[in-house]
Amino acid sequence: MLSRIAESLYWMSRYLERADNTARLMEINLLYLVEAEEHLSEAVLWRPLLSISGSEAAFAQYYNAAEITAQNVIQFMTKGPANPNAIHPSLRLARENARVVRDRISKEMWQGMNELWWMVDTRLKSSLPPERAAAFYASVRNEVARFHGLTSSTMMRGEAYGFYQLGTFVERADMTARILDVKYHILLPDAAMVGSPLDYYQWAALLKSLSGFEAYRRKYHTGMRPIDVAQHAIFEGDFPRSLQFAVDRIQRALAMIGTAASDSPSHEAVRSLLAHLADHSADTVLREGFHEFLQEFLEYMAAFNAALQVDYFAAHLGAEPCAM
Amino acid sequence: MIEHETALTFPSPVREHQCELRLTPRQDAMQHVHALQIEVDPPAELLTYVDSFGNRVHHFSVIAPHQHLVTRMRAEVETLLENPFDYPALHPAQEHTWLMDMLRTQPSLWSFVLHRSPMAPDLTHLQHRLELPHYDAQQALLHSVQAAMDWIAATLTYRVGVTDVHSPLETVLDARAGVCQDFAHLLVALVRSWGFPARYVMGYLDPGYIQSPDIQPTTHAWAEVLIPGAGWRGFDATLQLVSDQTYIAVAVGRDAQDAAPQRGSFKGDEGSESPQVNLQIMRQQ
Amino acid sequence: MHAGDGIMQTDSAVDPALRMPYHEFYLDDFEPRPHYRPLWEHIRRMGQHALATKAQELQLAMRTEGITFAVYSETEQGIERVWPFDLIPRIIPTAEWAILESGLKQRVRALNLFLKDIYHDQRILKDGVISAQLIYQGQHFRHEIVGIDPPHDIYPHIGGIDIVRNDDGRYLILEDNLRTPSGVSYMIANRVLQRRILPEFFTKYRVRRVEHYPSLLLQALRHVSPRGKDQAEIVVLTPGIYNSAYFEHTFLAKEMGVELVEGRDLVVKNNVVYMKTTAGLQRVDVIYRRVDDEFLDPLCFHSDSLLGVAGIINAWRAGNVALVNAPGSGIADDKAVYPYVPDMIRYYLGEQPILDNVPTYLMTKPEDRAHVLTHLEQMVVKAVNESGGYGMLMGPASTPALRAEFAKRIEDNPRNYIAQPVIPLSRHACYLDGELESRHIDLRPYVIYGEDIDVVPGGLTRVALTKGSLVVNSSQGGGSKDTWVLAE
Repeated sequence: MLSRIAESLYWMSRYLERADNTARLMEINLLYLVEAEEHLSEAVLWRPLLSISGSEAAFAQYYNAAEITAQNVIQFMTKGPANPNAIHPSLRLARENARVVRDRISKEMWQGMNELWWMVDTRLKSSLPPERAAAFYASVRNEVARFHGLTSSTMMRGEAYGFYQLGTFVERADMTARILDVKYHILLPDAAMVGSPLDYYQWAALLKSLSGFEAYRRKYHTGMRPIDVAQHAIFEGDFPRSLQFAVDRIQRALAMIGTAASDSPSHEAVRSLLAHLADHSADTVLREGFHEFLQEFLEYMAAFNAALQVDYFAAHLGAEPCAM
Repeated sequence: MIEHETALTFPSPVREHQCELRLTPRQDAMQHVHALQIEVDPPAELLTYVDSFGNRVHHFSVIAPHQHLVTRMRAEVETLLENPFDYPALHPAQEHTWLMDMLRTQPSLWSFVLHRSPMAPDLTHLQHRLELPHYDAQQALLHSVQAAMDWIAATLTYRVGVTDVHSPLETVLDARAGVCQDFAHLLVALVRSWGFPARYVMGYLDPGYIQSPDIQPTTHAWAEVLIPGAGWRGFDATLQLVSDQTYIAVAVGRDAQDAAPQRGSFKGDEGSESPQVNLQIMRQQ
Repeated sequence: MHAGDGIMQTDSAVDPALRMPYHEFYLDDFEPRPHYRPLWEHIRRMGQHALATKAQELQLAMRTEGITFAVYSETEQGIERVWPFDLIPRIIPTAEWAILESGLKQRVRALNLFLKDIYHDQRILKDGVISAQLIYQGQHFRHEIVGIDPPHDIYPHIGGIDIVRNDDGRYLILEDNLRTPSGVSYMIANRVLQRRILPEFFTKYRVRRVEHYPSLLLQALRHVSPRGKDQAEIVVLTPGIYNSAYFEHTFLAKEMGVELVEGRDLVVKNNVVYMKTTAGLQRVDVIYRRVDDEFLDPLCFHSDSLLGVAGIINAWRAGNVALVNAPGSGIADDKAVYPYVPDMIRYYLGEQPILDNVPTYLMTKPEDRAHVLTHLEQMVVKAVNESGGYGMLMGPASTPALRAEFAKRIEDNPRNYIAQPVIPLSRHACYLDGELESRHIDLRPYVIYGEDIDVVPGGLTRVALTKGSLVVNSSQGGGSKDTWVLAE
């Protein structure tokens, strides 16, 4: 298929996933606010969210000397415009890309995307105070889930579906790695603290922001141990939001696309990602450095993205014409 | 022997670069090209065609990202025209008939009468600022053309930096200054305003002829006019000369844009590509 | 229905007040023309309510199917409007169509020979049939095209020829459109919906089909592939989603089963055109391009346009790709060249034109110009290279200020204008707001030049929806009808 179309399919689902993950994070943080102790300030509660999306500087610039408050962060992470990764701009871009690939996606998908956009755009024309925001984020998640459902049941499997999957899981892997890096660091700033009594609620919040709390609880009956959380969030191949799951799906997506040779940069890059995961365990990660492990993971992801350009999105720049 | 090298540098890598070269001295009764060699770097397959003005065009594509582009042309040229005035002169009254015949049998000549562009515009709108030389129907066209060259020399000063490659003639007339490209355009525009075919020529000037310290060996520009009874004859408004064998014509067109020695289209940051040009012309006896 | 509106002044010898436009549907105040009788009786039996319901269904269907078109104004971005469609079809009897078809084929054949000639030997100019000056002043005559041999010497692969019917019932050619004529997708949409919503209309008639247009077009495109028709990678080149005809580009690409591309999807390498795909470069043989000449090749035509592909003209010159319609075709649909088309038919084919032109005044001719400037109120003045009804003066409907402005424009740039006496376009019955009303119409049949010249039976009948208006273009408030050519 045309490189431009493939790239649009990829970004359509990436932006959708980005909006979904942001909504999820915001929702959990709001609910946690309700459960939190009084001595924790709003700034302490909300700053991690800004770190995850790498937008602390942008936030500070936009709001000048203003503090980090729930309302400001909600505004910033939902509406934009100072934040290009906010939910509203992400969904707009998802829809723009969907328009480009309109004849590759099913009619239901196009309609679903439009409905999702109109719902969000209309709702965001009025204010979003903290007490109403959680419900809004829940509706975003539901609409995105509905869209995925439509896609799964109506889209032809093949190259186009492959790029769609690729976008979803690249974004998910990226976002999950960032969440883990920031949150874990807050909860366990010092490796020496492993084993000390931990705050149940904070760990629960981390798992909830990955939608993994119930599944974790079912599997691990011994309470919240860092090593189990790491195992679950990183290595658990059956948990849909783990890094392992995402990389597995990325590999499957490449296979579905099927146009690049097995020694091409993108296949090499995904093999590196798999190897990175295979070479570690929850135990080694905790001992050698959680942050280092995740940073390396993100580097491998960056290499993968560069490889996508070489193999698919800008293949013409180096390629010889293929024989007809 | 002519060696013409142009080097382009871009601030960041560009890609999908399509390039056309009009560097080959023209092959006709008055010029013979004996040896021709063109190289490009990064290396690319050279393709060629002849455009609608009869210019030999070489072109190539460099798709992969690159930051430099060098083109190098080497050619040996022999020029033969000795006396530009050696032709059976026509009576002024016959000149018009001759021209009408030419236009009828070669309709493409109308391009060189009718074309108007910012570089060679309709001068009637500018007339109020200058007393333009008129065509004298009582005399041969040659006479009016030479008078026009005198007038241009008196009106414009040769000065670098007032105009650039894209400047409209308006800028030249405002400043009363320009370079050879501008002098040539003014002569072309004048002759066209009289209803005669005139075209722009890009080429080289034999270095032995250059005496002014202001003029470096570079591509030179002059005009050609369809002289009744003779055909195309060159007129250099910059040096006020009729072109002879020291002028090596490369490309012609309606204006500088048609005859540009190099043109390209690419994707990426333009920056301000000021091409480095390295030109050497060696004369052999 | 035959009231005072729509009666125009012309310079005919007949008393202008008696020049009634030809009515396609009605023979007189009471009776329909014979070929409309079955339809008319059916409509009367249906009654108001049923008609109104059907009209609504049609509107809804158009909206649901997404059959829209975009209108651009200077102040706002494109507005997508639902395609306006009238439920009463226009019917052309077999014998009438036979004449139209042969006249159109003759005309397109001559136009093609004209294009080949002026871009090669220029005999028609040397023989003085058309003024060389006229051609060389033409904005769309492109010197870069001179000497290039398009595959099979075909230039206007697709033509949309606008036809009107005079008050004496004769069909006249109003205008040729040979650059990127559009409207075909609406012709097909009209038929599909007419059949779906009003199948009962068809029971009394045998109507020739039009839905096969995409396959006719595909064959014509295959025919010009440099690698032969069995190895033809074909694409439709669109300017993109903001173009007013984008719906048609996607429709045709989909119907023909070929890729829809934009300029940035293509790249020229060593004189061959390629598509940028996820599997690398894939060679392209035929490009049905809906991008205008001046934006097609930034290298050749010196533009900064992002819509085109640098180097594509060189690839075409080298015979490695076919461009449909051929660049440079625009000189043949220049309105100042239009008056010479009957001469072209005589010159190239040695035949008399089967279909006549509308009488036309060239503003470059002093006598013509003088006459027109003193009769502006009775003239239609057109800019030679505009379409869509823009750049046009409709004399009888104009203000003195507008006429003065046009007079100045004509004086400043006579080569850019032609004028024609107002033609009283024929009228047809339309179902508008619950009533049967009469409106002016024209016809745009589509001519495909492939291995043979084919004319799709019918075409797009355009309706000037505003009462009394003669402007049928969709961008200016026009509508359309399904067009039926009856089979033998």
